[in-house]
Amino acid sequence: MADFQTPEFRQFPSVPNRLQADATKHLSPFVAKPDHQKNIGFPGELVDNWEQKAIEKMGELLSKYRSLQVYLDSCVKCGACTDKCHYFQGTSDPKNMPVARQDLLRSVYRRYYTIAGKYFPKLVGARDMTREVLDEWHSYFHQCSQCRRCSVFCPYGIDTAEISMAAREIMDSVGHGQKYCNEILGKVQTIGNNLGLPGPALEATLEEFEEEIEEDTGLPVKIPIDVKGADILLITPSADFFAEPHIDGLMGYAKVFHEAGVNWTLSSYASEAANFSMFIGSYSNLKKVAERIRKAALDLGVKRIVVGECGHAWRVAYSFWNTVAGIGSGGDDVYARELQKQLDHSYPIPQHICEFTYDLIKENKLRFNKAENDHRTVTFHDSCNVARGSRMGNYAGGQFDIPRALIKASCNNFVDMDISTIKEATYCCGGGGGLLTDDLMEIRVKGALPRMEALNDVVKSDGVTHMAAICAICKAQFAKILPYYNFPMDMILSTHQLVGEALVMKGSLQEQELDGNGDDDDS
Amino acid sequence: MSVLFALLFYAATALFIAGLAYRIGLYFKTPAPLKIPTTPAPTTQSGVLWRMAREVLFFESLFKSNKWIWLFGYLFHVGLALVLMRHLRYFTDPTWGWVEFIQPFGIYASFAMVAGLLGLWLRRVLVPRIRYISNPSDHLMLFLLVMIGVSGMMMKFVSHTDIVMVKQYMLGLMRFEIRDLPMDGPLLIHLTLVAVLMIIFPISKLLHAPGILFSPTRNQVDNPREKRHLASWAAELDK
Ligand code: SF4
Ligand code: SF4
Repeated sequence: MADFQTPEFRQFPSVPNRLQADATKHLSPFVAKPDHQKNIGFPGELVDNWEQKAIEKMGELLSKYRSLQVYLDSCVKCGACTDKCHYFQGTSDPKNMPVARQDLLRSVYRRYYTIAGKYFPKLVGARDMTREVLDEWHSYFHQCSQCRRCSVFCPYGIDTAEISMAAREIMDSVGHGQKYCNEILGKVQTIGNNLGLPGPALEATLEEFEEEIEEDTGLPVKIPIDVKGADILLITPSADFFAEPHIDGLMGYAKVFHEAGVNWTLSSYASEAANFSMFIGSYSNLKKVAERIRKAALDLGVKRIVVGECGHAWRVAYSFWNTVAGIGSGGDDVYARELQKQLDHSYPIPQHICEFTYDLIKENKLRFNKAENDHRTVTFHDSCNVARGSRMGNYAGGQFDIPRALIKASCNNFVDMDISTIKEATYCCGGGGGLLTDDLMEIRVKGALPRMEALNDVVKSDGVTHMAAICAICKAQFAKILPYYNFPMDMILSTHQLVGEALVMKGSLQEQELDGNGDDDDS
Repeated sequence: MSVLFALLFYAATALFIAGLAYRIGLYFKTPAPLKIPTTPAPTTQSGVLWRMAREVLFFESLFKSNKWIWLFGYLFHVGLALVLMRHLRYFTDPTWGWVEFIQPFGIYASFAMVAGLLGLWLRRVLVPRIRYISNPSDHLMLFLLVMIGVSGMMMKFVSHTDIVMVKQYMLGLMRFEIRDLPMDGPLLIHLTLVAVLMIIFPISKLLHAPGILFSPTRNQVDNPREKRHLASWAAELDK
């Protein structure tokens, strides 16, 4: 099926020791076409004098991002991060060790921006900006899912994600971007979602889902779109509209909203939670895409904004929306106030769909029949961007407890994977950070190795049958790569699918069946 | 010779202070435009102080990461801290009480310091992953530190130096008077290497010392929903 080998499971858990130089050097994603580049404000192809321009761009970023400046200076090469990256574990390519990945850029930084590198380049490993360096950047900075696992373990918190974002922005600015991210970002900004799904097509799809839910529950559960004056605007990844198992998650949210009796809506103008601008480190694009949501919220007049299951989107929403688009609380400038006056600050803004459901569970407003999920033993995959880049609830670490509480509320059999592979130490699915593209299949499969090993471990010891996630990328990635490791592709579930299937809505067929009143005809 | 060393030390001190001040100033004025704490992160400022204290005093993240590197790194840094405190007696007259008190510990600390350094160096040579990421400068840095430690210990345990004279010399330097420095090999090596270390400090990876305090993944409060965080250059884009 592929021209590469799926890695073998190792002794679990284990540390890789052998290095295979340049094992994945050839894994370089497609370069963005001129159109993709220009659509989002970058030069169409490699500009003249690009070496000089790249170095200037680096200087600009150094003056704008403290993280970059401090991280490039502070690494002591202690080696603590070297074994922490899933791509290194899966490929043994030393350039996939976080510090070595940083060094691809740090070496150029030293050459042009430090005294030691200017006068003693050999001594400190400094090198000139050359075509070879650019190609290496294009390969290895697209073999980083910006999962931040390395940053947890670095004594100075050095975050390789920050470095790879900077490298990608430099490459974009000289006309050498990545096709996958940049093409998608263009679609979001013209059509409103990553898929390029126009409003009417979206409406038709949603109607089908409504029919499906009605057939299943006997209730006219709605999935409303573009409803002015609704209380809640749901911003969810567009994969929820077409991909499996994402759709089942969307139907889960709809059931929860219905049961809560709230007035909610989607927006066709801002029909996308994903914001790939983060992956390419582009502040201006980050802001532009987030401002579509701001505009939708203002136009629809909503009071609350809830975000669906998506990892990087939740990081963007939770950590960045307030900054880049004034979506949040506590903004005291004109720009922020315009929206913040309209919003209801007795709820967190934005709020995660898991937080929303969790509050209802705590208030005892949802009834579950856990037996609906008895045919499953479930484990939970913490998504990197939720685990290490954001929070849920009102205390540090709520992002670990809340999704688990949802699963446990709707499911009798829950097992966690090995502690060294979950929560803040969770392993990336292998497809995050703009790598979810067919041209990077090999690195996606290999990078999934540590997660697959941990999964295999609980499959063997506890009979786990399913893994739930709260991220559109994780779900799509697992659906694709599970078969490489001889697991069924439908092993991956949306967390709100479990919730939706166990939920017993008032007046539903499920309620009648449980309580035995009325006749039992649910065919 | 005494004059030469005086000049060396004045130059080294000036470069050290100016270089470090420039670097810290740079970190200080470079904005952190986005909220990027590595979560789970403290939700209050005092929580952040506590997190930072754990990092600086106990190397918490490193402990989670790798017990060997933590052990050697910790031995070295704690040893170094004690040794430095012990050295205060050459710069204070009369010597402060607590500096007197720690004198004997400072001696053991020098062993811990050198042992830690050798441990780190051994790993740098033996573990393929760490060997791969090492540049010549990383080995040189270890060499420099080990030599400083060893030459210092030589003076204590092998060939005694007239430390009263050294102290007079140092106190003199602080008052811009040049007195006589004993012309002992280990002492001169020790002092030269320390001066070299001070000079390269602000232009080398030793910047990790101030760097950690400015690391946004560690020093930011996790409250982006509650409070709008805006850098000056980013605020311009709102207009
Ligand atoms: S853990 Fe941090 S300081 Fe150590 S090598 Fe990795 S990035 Fe550098
Ligand atoms: S951010 Fe994740 S993918 Fe990137 S180097 Fe660090 S551990 Fe690897």
